[in-house]
Amino acid sequence: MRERELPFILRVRVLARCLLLQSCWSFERMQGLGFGFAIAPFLRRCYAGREAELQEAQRRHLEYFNTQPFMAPLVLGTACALEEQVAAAPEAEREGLVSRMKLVKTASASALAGLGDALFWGTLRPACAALAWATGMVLTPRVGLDAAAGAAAGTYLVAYNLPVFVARWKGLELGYRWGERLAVELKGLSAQRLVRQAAWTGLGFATLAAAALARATPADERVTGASALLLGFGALKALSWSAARVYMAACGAGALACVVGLL
Amino acid sequence: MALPLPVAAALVPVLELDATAAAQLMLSRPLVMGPLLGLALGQGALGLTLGAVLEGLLAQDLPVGSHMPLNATVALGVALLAACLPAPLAPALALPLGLLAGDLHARGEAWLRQGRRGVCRAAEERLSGSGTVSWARLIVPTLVWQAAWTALVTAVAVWGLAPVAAAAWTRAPECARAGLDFGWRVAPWLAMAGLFKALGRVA
Repeated sequence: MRERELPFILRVRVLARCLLLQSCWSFERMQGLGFGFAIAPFLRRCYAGREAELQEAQRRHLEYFNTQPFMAPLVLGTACALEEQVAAAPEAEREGLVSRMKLVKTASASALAGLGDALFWGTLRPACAALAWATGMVLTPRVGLDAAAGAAAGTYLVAYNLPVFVARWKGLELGYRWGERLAVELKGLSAQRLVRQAAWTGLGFATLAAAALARATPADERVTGASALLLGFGALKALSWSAARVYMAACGAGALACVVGLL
Repeated sequence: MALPLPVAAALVPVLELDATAAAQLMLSRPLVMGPLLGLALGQGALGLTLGAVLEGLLAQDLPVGSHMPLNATVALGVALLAACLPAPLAPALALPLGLLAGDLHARGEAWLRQGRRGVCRAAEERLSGSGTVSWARLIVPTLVWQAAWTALVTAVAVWGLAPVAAAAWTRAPECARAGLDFGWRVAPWLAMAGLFKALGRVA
């Protein structure tokens, strides 16, 4: 495990470029161009004065790549560490090192994609949405709608971006430090437990938001609302419908109720 | 003073870039963009409501792999702008219009992504030729095309489809209006169900 760290400025440059990881997303190589763009400053430093090797290194990082965007810095750091090994190795050993680097890069991208999707898209995003919603609803009677609306948006932004920034910043550092030990080191993290804890916390916020919504709903509408919540959840769970489809079904149900004279 | 509608509409393509192409700071999420854009338009409450509803309805639609979810940013932008027109569209009608625009945008974006097929090969050719890659020449046009497509969908939906929908709304059968009104009334609850489902999946 290397003790050195990436220089601060280089780290900022790589991470800033990582923000455009998906800018040229294509079905052919997915985040390939974005990865090549992000790692370019490191490669220029690593292969300074060795143009042919720099071009070769740049070319191999334009290949197919896809992972969850906030986990990409981990893979970037690993790739940086392995490129340093390649650059320092004798000519005869480089091909083997490059092959190994490609394997590590591909395998870690796939594994981190699953983890990142579950953690960030599947859990943190709806949890922050629930927190923001709860914030908006709880604050509305106290500070007014406009201030509550601003607070809800601010809550979402802070609650989401804080862990994401830490994941990105530390991810690059840890990927570089761990190198090809990335998979071994990640095994030690209790990722599943973290995801479940975040999900349960989000469910708590969602329950608070639901209670606030019920309180804000006129008394004669609460039964309808609660029924819609339960039936909607049932349709989502049992029928695997999207929530947008459930909404359209609700519109249809309303129209039907009007036809038969219930509405 | 409220932000002029064309200026607000011009923000939608910029914010949409945050959804996938750049940064992913969640500025493009309905529950962020809705309140902020709503406040700028003088409709903070509507922005918060539409934002919360769309956030919940689309909570399960994840951008995993090559899956193209319905574009939540465009859905929110179109719904909110349509509801803030000089002749505002009823929120009950603005919401489905927004969902339609979001779906249309996603289909077009899939086509845009197909068009980027050769972008990595272009970078490789430049490496072989001049020895360097002009990243700006590859990335900037992609972002511009993405923003242009979003601007087109938003403009067509808000200034083209919304007035047509408003005219149709006044002529629509009572039960069609009642259905959409009912959908709007229960939409926050359905959105809440969407959030519970999304979180319950991993808890």
